[in-house]
Amino acid sequence: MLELTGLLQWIYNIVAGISSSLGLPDIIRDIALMVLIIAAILAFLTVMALFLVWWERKVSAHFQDRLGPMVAGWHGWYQTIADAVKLLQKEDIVVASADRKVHFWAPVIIYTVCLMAYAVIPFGKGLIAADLNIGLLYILAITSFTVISLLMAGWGSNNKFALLGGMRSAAQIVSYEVPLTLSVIGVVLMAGTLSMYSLVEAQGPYFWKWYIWPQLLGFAIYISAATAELNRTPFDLPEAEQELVAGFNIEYSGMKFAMFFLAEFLNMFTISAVATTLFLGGWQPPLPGLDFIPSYIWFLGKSLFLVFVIMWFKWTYPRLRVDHLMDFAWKVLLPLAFLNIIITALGVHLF
Amino acid sequence: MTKQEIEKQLQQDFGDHIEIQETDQPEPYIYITKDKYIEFCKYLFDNPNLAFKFLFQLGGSHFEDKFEVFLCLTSPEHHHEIIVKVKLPVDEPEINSVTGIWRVADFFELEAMELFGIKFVDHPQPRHLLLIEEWDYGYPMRKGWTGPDFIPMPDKSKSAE
Amino acid sequence: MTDLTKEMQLSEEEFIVNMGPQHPSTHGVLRLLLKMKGEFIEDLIPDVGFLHRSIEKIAENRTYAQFMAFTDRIDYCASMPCNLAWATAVEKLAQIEIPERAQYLRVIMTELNRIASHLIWLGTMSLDLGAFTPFLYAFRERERILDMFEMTCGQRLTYTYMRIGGVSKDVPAEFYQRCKDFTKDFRKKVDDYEAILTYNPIFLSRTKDVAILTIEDGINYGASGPTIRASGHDFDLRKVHPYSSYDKFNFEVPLGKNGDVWDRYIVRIQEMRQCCEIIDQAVEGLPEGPIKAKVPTMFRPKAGEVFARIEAPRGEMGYYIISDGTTKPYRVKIRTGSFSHVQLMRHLCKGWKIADLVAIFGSLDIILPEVDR
Repeated sequence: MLELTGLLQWIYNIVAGISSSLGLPDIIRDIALMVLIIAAILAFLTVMALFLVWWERKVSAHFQDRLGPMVAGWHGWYQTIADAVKLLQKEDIVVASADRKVHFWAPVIIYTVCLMAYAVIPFGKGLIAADLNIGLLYILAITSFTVISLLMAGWGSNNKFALLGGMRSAAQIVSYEVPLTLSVIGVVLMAGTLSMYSLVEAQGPYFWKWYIWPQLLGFAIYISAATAELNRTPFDLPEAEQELVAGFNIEYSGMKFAMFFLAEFLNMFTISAVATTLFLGGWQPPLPGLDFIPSYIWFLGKSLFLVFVIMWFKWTYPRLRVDHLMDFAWKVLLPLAFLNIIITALGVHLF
Repeated sequence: MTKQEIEKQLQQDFGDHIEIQETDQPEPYIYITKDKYIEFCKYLFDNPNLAFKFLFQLGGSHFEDKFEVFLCLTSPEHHHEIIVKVKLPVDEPEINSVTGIWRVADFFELEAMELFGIKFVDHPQPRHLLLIEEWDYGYPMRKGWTGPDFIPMPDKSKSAE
Repeated sequence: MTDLTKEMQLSEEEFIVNMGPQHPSTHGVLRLLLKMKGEFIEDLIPDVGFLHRSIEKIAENRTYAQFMAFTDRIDYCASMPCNLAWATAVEKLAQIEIPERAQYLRVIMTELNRIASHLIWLGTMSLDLGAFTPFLYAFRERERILDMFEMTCGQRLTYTYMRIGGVSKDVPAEFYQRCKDFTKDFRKKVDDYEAILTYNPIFLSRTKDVAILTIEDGINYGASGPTIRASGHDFDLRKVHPYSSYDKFNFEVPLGKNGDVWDRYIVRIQEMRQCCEIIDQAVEGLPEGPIKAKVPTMFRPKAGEVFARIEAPRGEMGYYIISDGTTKPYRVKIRTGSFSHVQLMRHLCKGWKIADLVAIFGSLDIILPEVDR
C-alpha cells in the first residue's frame, strides 16, 4: 500500500507542473493545493459522519441484545445515506414567531466550527492541513464556539422549552470547558509544545512512551469533560427526550436538524482524534516494526476505538441531574485537573 | 377484632345512629346517618381498637329511592375491614367530605361528584376528574341515564390553551 | 382545561409547565400541571380521565362471566391479577369452592404476570432516568414470559384466562420445564439488572433520599403494594389475608427502610426474585384435579354485597359488588392501586426538581388505564 506522502508528493508535482506551465504565480499553486486538501478533508468527514451514525446504531443495538439496521444493504450500511436523503427532502418548517436570522445561523455555525477544527489534526505521517504552532490552543478555542450556536438555537426558536434546554446546554458546556483545558496542560508540559504534529512526534515510537501512561488522570478527566462537552449521556440532560422533549433543537426540522445531529457525531470524532493525538501517540504504531500498516490506519483505528468507548458510556449509564452535573465539573474534575498539573510539573522538573 | 366485636363496640358508642346490615360476609356492613357521618368517620379513624386508617375506596350508588355513599375502610394495624354506608335522599344528595380525615378521599369524591351528582360539601378543589371540563350531559352512572345520540365537539373558541 | 390553571395562584416568579398528555415519560396519557419556580416544583395537579372507558357502567350490563374480559383491560400490563381480583370477589359473593389445581394455576399465572409487570416498570423507569439498555433487557425476559402465556391461553397481553370458579385451560406438558428453566435463568438476569443500576453512583445520586414517604402519610394517601412496603410497612395481602392458597407457599416480603425512590426500586427488584420462589414451589406442588368448579352458565348469585381485594403488582386491587340476584351485577366499584398513587404524586413532588419528578413518577409505577378505568 502506498504511503500517502508519496501520493501527496505526486499531486503536488502535478499541480505545480500545471501552474508553472500556465505561468501562474506561486500563490495560485498554493491556493489550488489548499483547496484540494480541504476538499479531501471534507469528503473524508462527510463519509465519517455518516459512518459514525450507522456505527452508533449498530453498537447500541448489540449492547442491547438486538441487531440494529439490517435491511439497507449488508448489515444496513447505507441506512444513514437513506436517512440523509430523506432528511434532505423534508420541508423546512420555521415557527412564525421565531427569530429567523438567529434560527438560521445556529446550525450553520455549529457545523462550520466542527469542520474548522480539522485544520490542525494530524491524520497520518505528514498529513496535516496546517501545522500551526498553536494547534492545540486553536482547537480548544474553536470548539468553544458551540456554546454560541446552542444559545442561538434555543433563543431563535422562541419556545420556552428550547430556551431552557439551550441555556442548560450552555451552562454545561462552559462549566466543562475549564477542566477540559486544564487536563491537556499536563501533556503540553511534558512535550513542551502546542503544535499538534510535534505533540505526536514527542511521544516516542514505542507504546510505553505514549502520554496516556504518565497522564492517566489527565486522560480520564479529558474523556469525562469531553463527553459532557458533547452533551452525551451521562451528561445529556439538555437533550433528554424523556424529560423536556428534545431541548434546544425542538423546533428544527429537516436538514437543519440533521446539521445538529451530524455536528454532534463529528464532534465526537474530533474529541477522539484530539485524545488520540495527545495521549495515544497519534498516527504512530505501538512498535516501530508495525509501520507497514500505514499511519493513517493507526490514527483511524485509535480514534474509532475512543469513539466506541464514548458510545459505550452512553448505553450503560443513567443520566446525571443538572446540579450533580455542575457539582461534578466544579468540585471533582477541576481540583483533579489542578492536581494533575502540579504533579506533572513536578515530574517534568525533577526528571 | 372480629365482626361481632366491632359491631358490639359500634353499637355501644353510636347506638341509635347506626344500623347494622345482616350479611353472611366476614366484614361488618354499617349504615350511619348523614348528620353523624363525619363524627363517625373520625371515631373510626382515631379509636385505637378500631384504627381504620386506610380508606380503601369511596363511591356512590344509585337506587330507585335513594343514593348511597359507601366507604370501604381497612386497618393496617389490626387487619380488619368495615364497610360504612350513608343513605342520601334522591332529590338532594349532599354530604360532607372526608378529605380532612383521609386525604386519599379527594379523587374518590371527585369521581362520585361528576358521575353521580352527589355533592360533597367543603371538598377542597371541586373539578372534573374523569369527564371533560365541558361536560353537561348529566350524571352518567345514574341508573336510567341516556346519553345524547350525538355529542358535539366542545366549542373550540372556549378551549384556549 | 383553563379552569385548572386558575386553581393555581401564581406569584411573580412562578410559571406553569404543562406536561402531557402525550409525553414520552408519563406512562400513558396523564397530564400534569406543574407550578414551577425556576427549576423547583411548587405544586402539581394531575389531570386524569383521558383513558376513561366507563368500565363500571359497562359492568351493569354484562353477566358476571362476560365481565371477566373487561377486567383484563383495567391494567393491561398485569392482566392476570385483574382477572383474579374479579374472580375472587364473585366467588366470595356466591361462596364457590375452587379446586386446588385451579388455585395453584392461578398463583403461577399471577406471579408470572407480576414479574412481567415489574419488568415493564424496570424498563420504563431506567429509560426515564437515561439508562437505555435495561429497557431492552427487561423486554427480552418478558418475551419468555409472554411465550409461556401464549402456550397456555393463546394470548400475549390480555388473557381472560380465569373464569368464575377456576381457570379456563390447563397448562400443556411443555409448560413445566419451560417455567423451571425460566425461573432458573431469571434469577441470574435480575443480578445483571442490579449490576447496571443498583449501586451505580449516578443512579444512587438520582434516587437516594429523593421523595421520602413516611408510613403514616402513605397510609393516609392510600398507598399500597410495593410503594408503602418501601417505607417499611410490613403488609402484603398475600400474607395477611391469604387468598387462592397463597398460605401454602414460603416466600418473603421485601421491605424498604427509608421510603425513598431507591427503596421503592429495590423492593420491586427483590419482589421479582420472590415471585420466582413462589412459582417454583407452585410448579413443584401442582396437584391433579379439575381446573374449574361447576358454575351454572346463567350464573345467578344471591342478592347481597361483597368486598374483596388482592395484591396486584401496582398496589391493592379490590372490588365492591352489589348484586340484586340477577345475572348482571347492580353496581361494581373497582379500586386500583394507581388511583391512589396519582394523588400521592402531589404530596411527594413538592419541592423537587423536574428531573426528580420523572424519577418519582417512575418509582410509583402508575399506569393510566388503572387510574381512569
